[in-house]
Amino acid sequence: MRFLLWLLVALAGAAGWAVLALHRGESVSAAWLVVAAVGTYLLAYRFYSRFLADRVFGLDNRRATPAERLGNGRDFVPTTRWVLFGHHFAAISGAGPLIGPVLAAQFGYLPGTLWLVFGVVLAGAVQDFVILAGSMRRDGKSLGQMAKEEIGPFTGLAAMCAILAIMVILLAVLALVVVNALRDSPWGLFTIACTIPIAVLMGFWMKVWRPGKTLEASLAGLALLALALVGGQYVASSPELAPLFTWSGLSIAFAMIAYGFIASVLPVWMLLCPRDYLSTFMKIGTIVLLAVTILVVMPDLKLPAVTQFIDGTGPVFAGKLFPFCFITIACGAISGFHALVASGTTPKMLRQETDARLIGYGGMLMESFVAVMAMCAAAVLDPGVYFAINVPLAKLGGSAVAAAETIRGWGFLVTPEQMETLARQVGEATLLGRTGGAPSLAVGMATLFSGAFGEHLLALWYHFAIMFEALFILTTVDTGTRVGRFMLQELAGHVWAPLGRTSWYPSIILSSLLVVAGWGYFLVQGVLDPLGGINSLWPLFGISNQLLASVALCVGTTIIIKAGKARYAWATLLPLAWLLVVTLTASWQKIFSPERRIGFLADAAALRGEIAAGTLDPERGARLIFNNQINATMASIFVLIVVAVVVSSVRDWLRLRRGTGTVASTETPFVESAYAG
Amino acid sequence: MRDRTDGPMGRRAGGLWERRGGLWLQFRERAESCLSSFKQLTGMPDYAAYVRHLRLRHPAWPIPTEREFFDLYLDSRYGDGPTRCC
Repeated sequence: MRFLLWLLVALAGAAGWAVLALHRGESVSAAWLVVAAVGTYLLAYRFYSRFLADRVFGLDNRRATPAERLGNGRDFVPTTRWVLFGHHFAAISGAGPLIGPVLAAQFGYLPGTLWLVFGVVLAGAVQDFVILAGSMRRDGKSLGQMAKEEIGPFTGLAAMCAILAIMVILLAVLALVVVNALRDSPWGLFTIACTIPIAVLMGFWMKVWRPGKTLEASLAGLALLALALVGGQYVASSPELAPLFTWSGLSIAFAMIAYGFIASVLPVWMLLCPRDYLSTFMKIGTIVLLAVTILVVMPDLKLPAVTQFIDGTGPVFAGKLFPFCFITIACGAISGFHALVASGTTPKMLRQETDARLIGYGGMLMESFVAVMAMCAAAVLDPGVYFAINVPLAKLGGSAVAAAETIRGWGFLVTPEQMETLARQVGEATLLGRTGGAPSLAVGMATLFSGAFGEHLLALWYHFAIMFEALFILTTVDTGTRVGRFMLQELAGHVWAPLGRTSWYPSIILSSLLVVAGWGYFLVQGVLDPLGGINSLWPLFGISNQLLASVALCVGTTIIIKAGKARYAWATLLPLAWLLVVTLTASWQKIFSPERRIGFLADAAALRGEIAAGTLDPERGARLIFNNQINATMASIFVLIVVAVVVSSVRDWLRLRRGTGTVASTETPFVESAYAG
Repeated sequence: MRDRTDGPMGRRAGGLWERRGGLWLQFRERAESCLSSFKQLTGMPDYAAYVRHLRLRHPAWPIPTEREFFDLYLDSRYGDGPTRCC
């Protein structure tokens, strides 16, 4: 009976893939995409994750978890499996899995979906599970600590520098997404601006007026958020108020930099903690809503399965399918950042060892599913509309008429009237060239939701989707700046001890300023970039995230070998090898490609030529050249760090193999669990 | 399951609620456990669970007020390390 059920799941998944593969040139229902993905997830969870849990790690419920042994009722708390699943999922999923697939949709929906589904099963979920299980066996230690203790102090330091550098790029690129979504949009800006006073109000509610009453404060906050969303429409249509909230990209960027600094310096209860609740509520609610809507509406995918842009001529971002599809989609297939969460709060909450399978492996499958839904939301748009929104205005030709002409040249139809009507329907002045993925995802989601709930609410749904994305990007900006500050303080503490005190105000202000200046620099350059910035920053973010995943997989492999399971080390070595091939190729191309669309150095050289020929203002040109050099330097730093980590890890593995290294187990000794039996 | 045996009723046990009969008590207990799960899911502080934990494991320790507990919670949740991803 069991066997039959799994056979059925396998057949359903296979049927889904078959339909996707065979239907070329005509539209396919999104339901097939969902069936194919879910079928594959279920099989992988049932068989591969069980293999990892039983054979590779030997998870054992008789062994007490850190939550049980060290339970303190606050962070070490034994938590029911499904509750922790939701908690972990809310922590790992953010804007990343939503935006990456939307950008990668320029290759068509199929390449991205294949990488999402097979990448997560063989790489992403494996990484999350291995790090979670490894951290669980080590009292919930962080990735940095494990890198230091398992491989060596140098690797620990390298991992920490990598995390800090990645944080800077991540915050810049996410902030840029918000800037592109809110620029010249009074409705969007008003709603997002309102979230700040709402969060402060909630903060005072649960800290001062009614201490600890987080739930009632959050419910009040949600009600106010709904008011702000509806109120935005009034603001946008009012001739007096609308100009007050119509800001240029540069003004929004500076406002966000100021916000990031203030949020990092203020006590957490005032801004950060209430925002965190609001965005968690919104995230879980909206993702459930999106899943239900796709299943109910079952829209047709209008985007072709594969477009001509796999040859590297794509207008959304430059580069061929290999390696850039695998760089653009990081979160959703494999994301190194998850290793930080999987070695943070979650391992301290596992009630039983075997729960790590559902939470680590299953949680990541769920994130991949969200990314597949984002891909669906992008693919239900007319391809012409998709490109009109996602391609920088400079590349479209500067005007609606020119854009229609350019897009027709690529073989897709869109008329200026169509874009104008759509912009009016969603309550924006224009949708042309709104790069960054968030606006086109919002149009896709609004189309789906209004398909399910009625056409007349399109504008409200669009701004709901924008608010939903901007809300948790801002939450990442404030928590990220703060975490960056902690790490910088820890590093600075090695140089001069007082700088390492996280509560010393001069140190707080100095380190916050440095972190904000770091991501703020990239953000402002991205806003000023004639091609919109996403073009150069998103690949850099993807590379850094995948390289962090490589560090995590090195740590994971070491853990597996030290546990005496070297014969199963291929489970982490295979994804590691693939990631190294992809990211090192991509970094090489980003730095050294002779094509100026791809290579930072080639672009700098071309700009120098333009200045010499007198076609480019020398001052502006010098700035653009400097940016290219900075980007190339960042990419080189990432590569150097990772090569260093991989080399030192491989040396360690070879030593262990020869038997000369210490194979002392770094796991916490066995303690009998009271939950077993 | 040993954390639950203590019961969420705490000091109210034997008071008003018990006189209304077992069904109401059961409903209240179920509702409180749902609420507690919801708080864990969203990462909110769960004061009732903390008090339960202290009574069970460290009966001699003083029980903090909800205000004091909230400060402890903020420290352990946002003290270090990222709690959110990209």
